[in-house]
Amino acid sequence: MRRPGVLVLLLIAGCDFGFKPESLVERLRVLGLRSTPADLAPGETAQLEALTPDPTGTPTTLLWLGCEADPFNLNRTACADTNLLDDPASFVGDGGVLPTGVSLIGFNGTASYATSPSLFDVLPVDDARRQSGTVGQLLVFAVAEAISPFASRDELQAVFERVQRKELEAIVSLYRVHISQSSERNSNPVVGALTVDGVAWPSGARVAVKPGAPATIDVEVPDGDFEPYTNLTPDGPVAETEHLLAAWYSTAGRFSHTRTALREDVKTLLTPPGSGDATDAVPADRAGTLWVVVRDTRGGQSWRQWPMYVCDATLPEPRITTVEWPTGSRAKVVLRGDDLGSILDVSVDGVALEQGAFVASRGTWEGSLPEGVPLGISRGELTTRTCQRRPLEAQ
Amino acid sequence: MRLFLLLLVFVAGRAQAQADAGTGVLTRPPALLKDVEAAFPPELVDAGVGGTVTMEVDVGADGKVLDARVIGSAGVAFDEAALAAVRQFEFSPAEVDGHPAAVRLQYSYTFLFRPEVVAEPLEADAGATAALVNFKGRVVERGTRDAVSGAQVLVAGQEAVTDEAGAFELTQVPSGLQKVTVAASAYHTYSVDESFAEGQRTVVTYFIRKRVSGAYETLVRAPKERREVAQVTIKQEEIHLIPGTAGDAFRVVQNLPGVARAPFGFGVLIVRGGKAWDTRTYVDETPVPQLFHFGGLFSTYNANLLEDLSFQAGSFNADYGRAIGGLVTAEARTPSTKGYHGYIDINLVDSSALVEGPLGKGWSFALSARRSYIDAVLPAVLNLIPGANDAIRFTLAPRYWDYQARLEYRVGHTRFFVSFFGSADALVAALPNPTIDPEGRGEFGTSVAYNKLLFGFDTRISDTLDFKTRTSFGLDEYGFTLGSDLYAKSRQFPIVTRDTLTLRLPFGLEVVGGLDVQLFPYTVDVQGTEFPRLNQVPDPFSSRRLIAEHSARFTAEPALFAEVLWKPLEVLKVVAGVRGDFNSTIHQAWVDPRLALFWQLHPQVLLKAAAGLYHQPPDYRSGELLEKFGNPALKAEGSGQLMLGTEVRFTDAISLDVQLYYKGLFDQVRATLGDTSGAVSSGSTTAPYLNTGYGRAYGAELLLRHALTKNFFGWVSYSLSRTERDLSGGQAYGLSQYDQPHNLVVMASYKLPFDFIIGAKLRYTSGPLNKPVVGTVYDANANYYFPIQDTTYSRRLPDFFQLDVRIDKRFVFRDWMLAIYLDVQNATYRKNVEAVVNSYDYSQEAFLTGLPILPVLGLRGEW
Repeated sequence: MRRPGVLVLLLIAGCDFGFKPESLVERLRVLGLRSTPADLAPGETAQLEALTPDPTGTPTTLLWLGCEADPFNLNRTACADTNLLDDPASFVGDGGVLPTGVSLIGFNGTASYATSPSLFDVLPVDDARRQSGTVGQLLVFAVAEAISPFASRDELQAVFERVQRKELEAIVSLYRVHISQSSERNSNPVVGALTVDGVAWPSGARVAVKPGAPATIDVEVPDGDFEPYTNLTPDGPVAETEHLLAAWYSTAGRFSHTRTALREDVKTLLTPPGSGDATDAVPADRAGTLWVVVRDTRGGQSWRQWPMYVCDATLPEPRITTVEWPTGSRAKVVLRGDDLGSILDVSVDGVALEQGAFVASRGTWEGSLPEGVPLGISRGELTTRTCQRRPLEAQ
Repeated sequence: MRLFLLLLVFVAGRAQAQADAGTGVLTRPPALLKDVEAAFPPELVDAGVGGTVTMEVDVGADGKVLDARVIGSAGVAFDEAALAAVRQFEFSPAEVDGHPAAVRLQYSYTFLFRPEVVAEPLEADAGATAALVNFKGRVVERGTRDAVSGAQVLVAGQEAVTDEAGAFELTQVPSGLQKVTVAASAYHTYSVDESFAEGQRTVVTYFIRKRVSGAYETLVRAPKERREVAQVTIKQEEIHLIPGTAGDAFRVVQNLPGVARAPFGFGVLIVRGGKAWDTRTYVDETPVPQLFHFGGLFSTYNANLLEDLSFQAGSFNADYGRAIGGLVTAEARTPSTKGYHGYIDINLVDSSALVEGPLGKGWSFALSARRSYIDAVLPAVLNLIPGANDAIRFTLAPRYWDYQARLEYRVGHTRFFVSFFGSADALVAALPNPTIDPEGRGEFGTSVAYNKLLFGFDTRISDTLDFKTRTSFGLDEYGFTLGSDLYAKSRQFPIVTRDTLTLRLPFGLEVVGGLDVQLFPYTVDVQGTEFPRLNQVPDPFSSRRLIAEHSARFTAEPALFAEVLWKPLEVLKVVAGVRGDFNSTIHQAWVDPRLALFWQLHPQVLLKAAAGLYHQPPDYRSGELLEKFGNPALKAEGSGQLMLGTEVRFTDAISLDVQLYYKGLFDQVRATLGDTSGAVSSGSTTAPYLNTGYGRAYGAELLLRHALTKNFFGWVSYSLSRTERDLSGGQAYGLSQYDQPHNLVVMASYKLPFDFIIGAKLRYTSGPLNKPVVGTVYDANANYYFPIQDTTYSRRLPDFFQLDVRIDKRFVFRDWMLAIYLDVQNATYRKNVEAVVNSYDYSQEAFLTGLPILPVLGLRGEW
């Protein structure tokens, strides 16, 4: 019964069951997986990355397994088998033997997936499935524990048994890489600047947010990221354009929409912690992290993260009496004045100064020009810990 | 023109001397000198009410009215009218102890309705008998205008009884003012004073009021010889008043033994543990493809046009087939042949109207229609909810409508009718933030519609042979779209005919033979991906795996059935039947023998038993038979059924029906598991469906019923059942998702004075079953957690309890009636658990509860 199902989904969507929001990152999470390149041709190899933050600081181990692709695109791999996925220890191998078609393809940050040059040889040369392609499937076991890359099979077995007993936090993730002989290749989107209330936030600067004060957030992406492509339908080729779907995450605060289709009508509002929600108090250090993972609708994905600062209105406003601009490549921007500890970030030409900090011994605030920002610029912007943004100039 | 008779009752004997007159004796009572007639309150002219106002009147020593008070009220309007008149009265002075004095009197006014009276001259040439008739008329019922036959009309010591048309005549009624009294069973006695003049005939129409309007009435037709062992029949009047069903015929079935409560109260019929496809619904013997609007709101066929509704939870006879579960058969009634009637019903969700009436010479017609206004209201409601328009917008907001038209000829045993009926539901929605689908689809739509043109003909060929035929031509359409590239559309042109001959033979034999043919020319346009296998995490990128099927097909499902009813003994009845079916799509023929036995152990105790074989084609609606999405090599699903039961009739009204049943399921269509061996050598895979499923259902059902009587009806229905199936592609065997061991419904409706009817329904069932989530996989492409569920339904959610209450109040006017009803579902506001919902990663769960208290207030005008 599809129609009642749709109605139920709509009803559920409107309910609040008190669950922790999907966007809240409190422990080990897998937020994104990416292959580069995004699409493969038979015989090519993809480099793999994962976004697996764990704010608790617990070491994370990633174990990567790849499954041989089904050239008929019928999902016939062990990687998608729910019986095996329910028993991760089986992927460690029974007697040292992994399931058919499964191989270990990486450990922690180093992983790659290689495809067979003869993948589509079982298909006729003119078979449309060579163009529409198939998927290479791979699994990532993210375990909240440091595991030696030289661990024995028994040691791994013991780890997965603890995972099975839910004594050890772990996430099993499935990812698919598109493989085809099509000349139309997908690429991962490029995530640009974060915009807050419509204004681009300086690159590298902490995102200053007022406690409990909602702000509209978005990310800039190049026009070219909305890639045109040809959808090979049974009725013939259909020209399509990708959508880009942004998924938002943070260590604190709440989002009005956890997911947003970029350049559509609906925008995401970030309500920083301190809104009065007892489950979302301002962190003791007022610091947090903001992530966005952008997926195109063909399997490409990219992500970015920004440090976040929850402002403190009780702090004094900094008063700057002198701005010293650097004259040499290693010189710093030096600010003098009062209450300079209230300065959060200083940016020049839309880029935050690096290693910017209040130097108490000298009573100055100092930061280095990032690479690529030319010398000679004598204007900038100041962001304070009270959430003020103003031109950088002596008062 | 209406006139009202004002009666003044002067209770002179109860006049009291006022205080200032001391304790003297009333020596001369006041006499009324100036009489002012009270005006009948215009707002009550049509209300059909009257009353007596008793007043206390203070009359001064000069005979003027000083004050007047009501001490016996007949309602504000009557009170005020009476007081206004009395205050204008003038009396001759009363005397106490021989002196004028102020006195206090009691007066009573009685307001009576008096119908239009026509005086016409007696015709000299009207014949000897006719010349003597000087009083004639009709007696009809207030509100419905139906003729009242058998009513007694009494005047001046004479009596007449009304005929079928409600008409009466009296002769030689004396001239002058005469009291006329009309009395009829179930009606209030009516009295009125009529003036009769010499040489004139008085012609009247009397509207008499039923003691309780909307009383339970049953049209009793000649009972047929019973053949069905497990049938429960609900009359139309019962259907209307069952709480929690909003007067909906087909939802009533959900309250009968053997029918499990569907999740969220949806309209699907889960009968004896079978899936919805196992049960078929027929109206006038033609299948209805969509029983409810939007999955359960209201049925698509107007309950007011039904004569009755019968339900068999299983073990039905050979005249019906292509189903292995239950059977719902509804018979439309003959439209009114007595007069023009109809109603308009307005509630919060939709409005409907019906009109029916005679066309003369045995012909009558009915027209009815219903239209929802959710599509008009919903956008405005969404505008009021912050953020709602960010969640969903409707290109076509949910709307439904249905219609029924019927033209019928019925005289004696011959009946012919043409019925045209149909229904349509549709919605198209757009998601402003299309992020649910990993490929960014943001539009979805659904539509279902059917239209039927049905011809029916019944006749008695001879004293021993009856013939009945039903033939329908239909246009059914189904559509579902998701984005622009995923869709399933079908258009069907079903032609259905059922022709039955019934031959009554000596020695207690009755033979029934028939033809039951369904022809389905249809088109299918489907584009999508293979349905995901149960043991695989589905690939979210469906656009790369699109397959399509566009075809025009024809399915023929001819069947022949024969039944013999034999009464070898007065107390023993045997119904033996056999049915042969063929389905051209699955290229399969089957023969189903069926047997039912009735043994009247005692005049009040009947024993019954049945055994039979049942088959049905696979569920073509879900694509199981499609070449690219299903398996066209599937065969029919089968069931063997056994039943043993007894019926005890305690009184004419109270009966008990107990049944034990066993249903074995074989050749059930079952989804198969995907190949995950990783050893890919060819493009062939196991078919997504095979006939390898099996299971069983067994249990006991009880129905204690108080039949429709004048003031009360109700029932207690209890089902104790167990249903088991093979699960998870055959990996396990255990409780079916439809297993619901306990199901109790207690329902009662009672007529109260003043045209109130109150009803309540209590339902208790075992909680729904659930497959617990035992693990998860994060799908990094689609950004969601895929749940890995237990292979069996190993968890039962909390039990269900709900109390529904319904109150109807009728106001009867001369020509029509107004009903106000309040149907309150879940009156105790119990939070019944319908399902489990989980957090995004299934680390947390909560219960999804059903509807909160849901009052539905409606108005219904009938005439």
